[in-house]
Amino acid sequence: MKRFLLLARVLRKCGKGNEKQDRQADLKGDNSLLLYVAGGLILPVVLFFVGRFFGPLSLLFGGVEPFMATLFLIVAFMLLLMSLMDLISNMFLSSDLPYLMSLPFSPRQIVFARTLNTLKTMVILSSLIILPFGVGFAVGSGGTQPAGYWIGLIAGDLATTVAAVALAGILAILIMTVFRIARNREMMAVIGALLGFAALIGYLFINKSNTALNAETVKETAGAVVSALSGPAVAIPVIPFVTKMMAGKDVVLNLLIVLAITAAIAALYLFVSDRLYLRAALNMQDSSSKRRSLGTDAMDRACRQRGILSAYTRRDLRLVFRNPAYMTNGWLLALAWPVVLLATFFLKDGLPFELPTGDSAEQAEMIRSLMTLAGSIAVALMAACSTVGLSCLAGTLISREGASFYYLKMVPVSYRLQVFGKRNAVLTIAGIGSVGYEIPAAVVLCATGTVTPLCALLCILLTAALVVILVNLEAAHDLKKPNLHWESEASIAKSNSRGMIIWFVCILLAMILFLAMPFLVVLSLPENPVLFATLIAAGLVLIAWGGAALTERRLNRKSALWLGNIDT
Amino acid sequence: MIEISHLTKTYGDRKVVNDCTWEVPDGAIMGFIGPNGAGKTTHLKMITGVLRPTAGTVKLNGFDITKEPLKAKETFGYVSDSPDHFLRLKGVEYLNFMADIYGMPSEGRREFIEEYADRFGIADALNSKILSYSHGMRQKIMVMGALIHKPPIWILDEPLLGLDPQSAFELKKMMREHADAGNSVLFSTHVLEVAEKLCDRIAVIRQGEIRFTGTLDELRSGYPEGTSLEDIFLHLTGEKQASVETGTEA
Repeated sequence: MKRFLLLARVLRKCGKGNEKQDRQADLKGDNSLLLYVAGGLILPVVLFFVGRFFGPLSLLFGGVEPFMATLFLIVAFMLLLMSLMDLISNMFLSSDLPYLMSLPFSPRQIVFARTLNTLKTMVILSSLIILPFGVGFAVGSGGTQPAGYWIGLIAGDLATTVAAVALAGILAILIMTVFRIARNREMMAVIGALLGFAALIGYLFINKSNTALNAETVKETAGAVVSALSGPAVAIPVIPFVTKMMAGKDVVLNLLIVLAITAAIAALYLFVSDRLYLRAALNMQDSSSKRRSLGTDAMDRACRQRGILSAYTRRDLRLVFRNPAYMTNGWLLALAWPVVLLATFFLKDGLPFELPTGDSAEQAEMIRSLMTLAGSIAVALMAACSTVGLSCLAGTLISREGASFYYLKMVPVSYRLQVFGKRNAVLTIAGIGSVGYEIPAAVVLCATGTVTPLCALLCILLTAALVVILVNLEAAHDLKKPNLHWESEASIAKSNSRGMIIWFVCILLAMILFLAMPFLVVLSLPENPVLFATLIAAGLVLIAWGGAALTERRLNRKSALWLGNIDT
Repeated sequence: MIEISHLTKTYGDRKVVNDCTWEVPDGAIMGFIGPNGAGKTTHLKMITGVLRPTAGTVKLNGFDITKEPLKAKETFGYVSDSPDHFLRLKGVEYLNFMADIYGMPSEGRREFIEEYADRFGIADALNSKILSYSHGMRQKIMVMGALIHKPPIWILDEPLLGLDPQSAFELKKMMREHADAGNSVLFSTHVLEVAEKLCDRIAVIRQGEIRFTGTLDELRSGYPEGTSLEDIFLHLTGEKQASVETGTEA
C-alpha cells in the first residue's frame, strides 16, 4: 500500500508520462488557461439554467427518473469515451512505461496509480455537469425534492464516474490485449485516415445517387447510431438505482446497491489488471527493428541534389506525414474538414426562421443568384479557415522542432529561407485541403450549371488568398512565441486553441454572410443587388489578395529577426 | 581555426560563460573538459551560432559568427549532445537533407554515405527510420550528417557517448586524420582517458570560466611528477583540494 501511494504521488506530480512536466509554463504560453477558466465558470451556469428549464417539464413527463437517467447516461457515455482514450494513452503509450515496468510494482499498482490521474479529471468534469444541472432541475421543479434526491445526486455523480472510468480501464486493457496492432500508432492513424476518407467519399456518393436520403432519414439514422453508441453507457448498472434514489424510493437500500455495484466494477477492474495488464503492456515493448536494404537505384534517387527550399518543404511534409500526432491533428484535419462540416449540417434541425423567397419570379431569381454568390464566398471562408484553423500545422511551424530547433540556427541557410521552406510545406497541405477540393467541384458545378464560372473563380481566388493570410499569420505568431520545451509531440499538436477560435469566427462570418444576402433583395437595398453583391465579392477578393501580399511581405521581412530572437 | 575572445553569456544576473578567451589552432584536436553545468554546451552553442553571446566574439576560420553567420557556419560541422533528432526521417533521408542544406552536389554524396556507413557499420540501417535506431546508431548518423559537407572544423559535443568500442575507435581515428590534414577538431568530453590519449590540447572550464588551456605536458608541468590527470582535473575544477601548485592558468 505504501509503495502504491508513493507511485501514485510521483505519477501525479510527473503528469501522465507523455505530457509536459511543466503544466504552468504550458498554460502561460497558450490560451488554454483562459479557456479552462471560462469553461469552468460558464459551463455550470449554463447547465444550471438548462436544468432549471427541464425542472417544470418533469411534472408533465414522468417525474425525475427519465430526466436524470438521460443525464447520467450522457455523462457516463462521455466519461467512458474520454477515459478510454486517456487510459490507453497513459497505461500503454506513455514514454515512462518501460521504466515503470522495470520497477518492483505489481500490475494493479501501476494501473491504479495511472487511473487515479484520470479519475481525478473525470470527477471534476462530471461534477461540473451533473451538480449544476441537478441543482437547476430541483429549483425549476419547485425546490421540493426529497432528501434522497440530493443524496442520489452526489452519490450518483461519484458512482457513475468511478464505474465509467473502471469500465473504460477494463475496455482499454481488453482492447490492447486483443488488438496488438494498436501499439503501432502510425498504422492506426493511417487506418483511421483511410476510413475517414472512405466514409466521406461513401457519404457523398450515397447523397448524390440516392435521392430518398433526405434530412429526415439522415436524422433517423443518426438517432439509431447514437442509440447504438449509448449501449456501453446503459451497461453502467448504477444509473437505475441512482435515479430511483433521486425519486425518493428506498433511498438507503438503493444507496447500498449503488455502492455495492461500484465496488464490484472496481474489483473486476482489479482482477482484469492483475491478469491481463502486464501481457498487454509487454506487447507494447516488442518494437519492430526490421531493416530494409537500400538498392542502387533507390540510393541514386535519394542522393539527387535538391534546392534548399525544396529540401525543407520535403522534410517537413515527411515529418508531418509520418508523425501520428501531426498526422491526426495536422493534415488529417486539414483534409477531412468537409466531414466535420457535413456532419454538423445534418445534425442541425435547420434554420430557426424562414428565409425570404421574394414576391415575384424576378426576385426569386435574384435571390437564387445572390445565394449562389454568397454560398461561394461562404465556402471560400469555410474552406480556408477549416483547413488552416482546425489543423495544428501552421500554428506549430517552429514549435514542432522542439529540441531539434538548434539546427535551424546552426546551418548556413538564411533564417528567412528556412521559414519559407517550412511554411511552404504547410501551404501545400492547406492548398490541397481547400483549393484542391474546390477546383474539381467547380468544374462539375459549372458544367451542370449550378454555379456560374464567375462565382467559382471568385470562390477559388478568395480561398487561396485567405489560406495564405491565415497560414502566414499563424506562422508569424508561432515564430514570435514558440513553445519549444515540450515532452511529447501529442501535447504540442493538440495546443491549437487559437486555430479553433479562428475556425469558429470564420464559420460564424460565413453563416452571417449567407443568411444576410436574401434580405438585400427583399429590402431592396441597392438598385441591382446581384451586380452590387458581385462587385462586393470581387472587392473582397482584391482586399484578401492585398492582405495576403501584406502578410507575405511581413513574413519575408521579419521572419529572420523573429527566428534570430529565439534563444534556447 | 576557432578564435574565441572575451566570450560572455548571461541570463539575468547569472553569468553562465564569463569573459572566456581561447583558441583552437589548425591541425589540433582540442578537448573541452569540465564538470556538469560548467558551461561547456553553452560555450559550444555560442560558437556554432545557436545562442547569441552577450559579449565577445567567435571567429571560425576568420569569419565572425555574428557578423558573417552564413560563411562561418559553412566552415564547421556540429554534433549536438543529444542524437534524438529527426527521428521520423530515414537515415538516408536525413543525410541527404543535410547535404542539400550545405549545397553538396550529387557527386561525392553517395561515396561519402557508403564509406562512412561502412566504417560505422550502419549500412543496413540507412533505409530505416532513425526512430528505430539504438542510441549509438543515432549518434553515428548524427556524426555522418555533421560531416557530410566535409567541413574544415569539427565541433562535437560528447561525440563518443553511446558509441560501441569499434565505432568510438573509428571516430577517434577520423578525428586524428582530420586534424593531421591541418584542420581543427573541438570536442567536449567527460572521459579524461580519452582526452589524455587523443587531444593535442585541452581547455578546462569551471563555472563558466576557462581555468586552463594548453597541451597536456604544459598542464602536468605545473604539478608534481606522478600526479594523475584525474587529480589535476579535480584540482582545477575545485572539486578536490590538492597541495600542489597550479598549472598554467588561462
